[in-house]
Amino acid sequence: MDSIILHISDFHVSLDKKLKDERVNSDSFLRASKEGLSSQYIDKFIQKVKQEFNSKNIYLLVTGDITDCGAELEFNYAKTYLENIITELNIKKECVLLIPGDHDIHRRDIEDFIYSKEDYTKEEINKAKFKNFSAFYEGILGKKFTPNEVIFDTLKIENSFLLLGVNSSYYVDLENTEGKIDVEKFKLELNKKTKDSELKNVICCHHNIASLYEDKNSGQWNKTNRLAFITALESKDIKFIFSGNEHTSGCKKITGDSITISDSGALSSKKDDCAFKIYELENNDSDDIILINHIYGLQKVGNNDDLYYWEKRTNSDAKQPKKFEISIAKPPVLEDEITELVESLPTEDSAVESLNILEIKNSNSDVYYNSEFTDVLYDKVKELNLFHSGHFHWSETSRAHNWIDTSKLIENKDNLSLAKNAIIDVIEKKNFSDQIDLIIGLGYEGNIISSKAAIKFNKDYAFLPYSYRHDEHHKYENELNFDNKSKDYKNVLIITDVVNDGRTIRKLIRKRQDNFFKNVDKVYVVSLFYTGESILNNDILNYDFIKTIPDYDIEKDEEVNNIEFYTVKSLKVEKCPYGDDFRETCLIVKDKLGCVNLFYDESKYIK
Amino acid sequence: MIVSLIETLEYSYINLHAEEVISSNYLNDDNQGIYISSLQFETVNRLFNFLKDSSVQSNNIVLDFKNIQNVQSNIIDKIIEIRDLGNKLILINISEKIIKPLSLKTIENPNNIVNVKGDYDIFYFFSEQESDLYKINIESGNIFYYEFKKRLIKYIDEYRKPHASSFVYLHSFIDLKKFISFETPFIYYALYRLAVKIRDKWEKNLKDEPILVGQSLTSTFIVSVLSKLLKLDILVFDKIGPINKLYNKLEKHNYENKKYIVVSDLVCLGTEVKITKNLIEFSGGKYLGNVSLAKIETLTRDDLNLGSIDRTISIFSITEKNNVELNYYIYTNLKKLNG
Repeated sequence: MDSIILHISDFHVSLDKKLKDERVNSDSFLRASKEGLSSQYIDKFIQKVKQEFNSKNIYLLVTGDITDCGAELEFNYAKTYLENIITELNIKKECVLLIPGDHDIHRRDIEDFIYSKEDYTKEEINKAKFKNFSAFYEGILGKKFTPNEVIFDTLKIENSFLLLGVNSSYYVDLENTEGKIDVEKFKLELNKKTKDSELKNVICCHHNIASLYEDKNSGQWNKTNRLAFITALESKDIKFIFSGNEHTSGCKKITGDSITISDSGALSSKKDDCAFKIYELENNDSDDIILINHIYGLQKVGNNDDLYYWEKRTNSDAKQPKKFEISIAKPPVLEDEITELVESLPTEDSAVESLNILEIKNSNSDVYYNSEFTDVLYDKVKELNLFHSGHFHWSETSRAHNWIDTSKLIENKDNLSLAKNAIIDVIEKKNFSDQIDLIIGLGYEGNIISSKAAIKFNKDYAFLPYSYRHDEHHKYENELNFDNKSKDYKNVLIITDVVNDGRTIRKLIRKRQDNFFKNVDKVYVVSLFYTGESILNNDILNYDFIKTIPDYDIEKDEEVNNIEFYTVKSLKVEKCPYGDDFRETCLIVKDKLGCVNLFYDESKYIK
Repeated sequence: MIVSLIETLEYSYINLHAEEVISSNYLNDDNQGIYISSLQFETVNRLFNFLKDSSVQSNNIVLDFKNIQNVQSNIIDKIIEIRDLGNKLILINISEKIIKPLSLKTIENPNNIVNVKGDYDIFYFFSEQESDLYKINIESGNIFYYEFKKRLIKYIDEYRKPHASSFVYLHSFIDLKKFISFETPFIYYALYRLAVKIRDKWEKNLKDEPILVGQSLTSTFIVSVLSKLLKLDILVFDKIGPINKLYNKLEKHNYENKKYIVVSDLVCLGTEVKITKNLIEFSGGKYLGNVSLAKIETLTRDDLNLGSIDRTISIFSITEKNNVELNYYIYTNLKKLNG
């Protein structure tokens, strides 16, 4: 492949003269006027691209705000500048993706339209507001712009992946300037336009869905719509967004690291950072599709002979990744190799060799992290003083010197919403929502934080008390109610607030509900907190791992080895250092010195 | 998933506001609860896909627009597509505000008559002169009542043992925990209706943001869903046992000047509710009332003080009118008096 994608944005071609009291944008180098050095500015830009990538096949991506106020004259000059770029760089018109921004909307046309009719639809407004842009678009590309489509155009890059032109200015009008789309329509159009395609998709739009410059997570996108859009992107496995608008060249990852945004920066701005990007398709021997991210910035030196020049930036200094992995061919499955290794060992393996194998397996750890939930949850623990010290006893074997008051956390509706969404985020990030057949909410708090997942994923749902509270509940409350004789429930998800060593979970599976779970292949466990002492990975609740922990009381445990565990936040608590004789050896308990908090009825165990 | 689908012999009923609440709050990530008043294209499209792919028994579809005040502009196209699947549509509870966006004036049917407020109680989305549908009385409360009763009866088991909290015997036990597990997605519609009832009953008090109190494992599920739908905070009383001791010790919850709604799954004699009420009031809080999925009315309507704060709000009642049919009874060890 010898191709590049030239990503430019925010020309803001601006009128020099406007009506009295109207704002004149003097910030842009590019003017809607024969006066000035606009053409020279474009020439300098073209020279830099030629200098860097002269022989390459170029795809051009323009992410909006080509003009400043959508006036016809601005578009006339913008057409001249853009045609110059296309001609000089030998770009084929079918290799151009041209996206409107909120500044490309002609607000005067909206006003004229709404004053001309009694009733009108959104679709009619869109046609009116994009009238000048539509003429410009057709003039450059020789095809019509469809203002009422969300995905109005696509551009295939070397039969490798597809750029989707998304009109984020769909709802922009006299009052609204935020990015927003009809998400349902987007999904329908995506299905239609990509139904026979195996290619990866990349979203190209004007508005930034996260901020690099502003101190605002949702960028210039409608907050509610943003969440729906991001969810749709994740469900369609779309991992990249190329956009503009913020006049800040940069990259940002959102939803953990599952979506990467690349903002080219503004091509033309006197006060803001001027920049553009070139994504070079990497030549490699594999089927991987990788874009090398080249960043260029305008150095405004103010020299008499040379006011400015374009120079390449180093990715590390610019804090941007060097590459975007659009698609990576699947590596060989690691577990098969380990399985073969185990089978080839002689049966008289020593315990050390067995441990090494477990370590190999455990080192292939899979841990959940998303700053939007993991870090925020931890902030809540600190803010609400939820982490307590004292003596906390949940059962005869489960005792600790710290406790996280999750009940207090979820009293507040917004924190409860956070907890529910965190659980959902784990399920979605780890991609097992389709596999699970049943969700079980464990404990009061587990039941509360599971409700949204049960409804959202439309799964069979049950709830059970904690094993150590089993005897305190009515027999009907202890019933799982679902039958698994015909093995309908192969994969079960258990949701709970806190997991320590997982003893309670194993007891539930093997002792309390063995009849059901003996026909279950895999048990997923998701918790808000993990308070144990092991290094986090998804194997740590399994019996074969637990028995390797020094001094662990394995005798009272249950052998279960099909648990895959994830937690939102790991927060270790100090376990009680005393054994079964704690009533005699722990001074606090023995002499009743106070601060012992019981979560169970110990009278049954006291002789 | 369509939560509000109820199939009768004559029609299939769907509550569009309930579906919109589910779409917005659970399938998307909106946080408006039941206070949404706009019907989105996405919701109607979801319904269309469901009807297209499933086999509902009746081709007569009743769409309930209660609580809908706005519709997205392209909704009517989708409703027409639903009709074009071969269905006869009857729209009920159409607010005057949405008559125009739904282009209802284009349908000519003399049976379509606005009420004094300018709304349509019922609107036949077809123009036939004769139809059996014109004779059917469609009322969403009745539709729900009969459906809930039909489903509940499966979860009433013979018991003949003492009640857990009161000194009476239960002839039968109503397993609402099993009902919640097995009757999805209908249970979500039931909880939606409970939320709407709470909102209608306590509209003024909800502005003070009362706290929903769960006092059993089953009721915490109800509390969790109601919290989302009504946008209220929650409090869990864990079996009124050790956790309360803990709260008192660590002074975690401040009850002063706050209002509380106790949430139950089933209220029989109200013993547990009264315990919870007393705990709240003793701690300085204000008890607003009690809500429940189902309740047993052991007194006549005359003897039940309808205005009393102790009267439970529920979406289903077992009364002397239906307890025999449901095989539910409470009794004591005392012998009946002669005469």
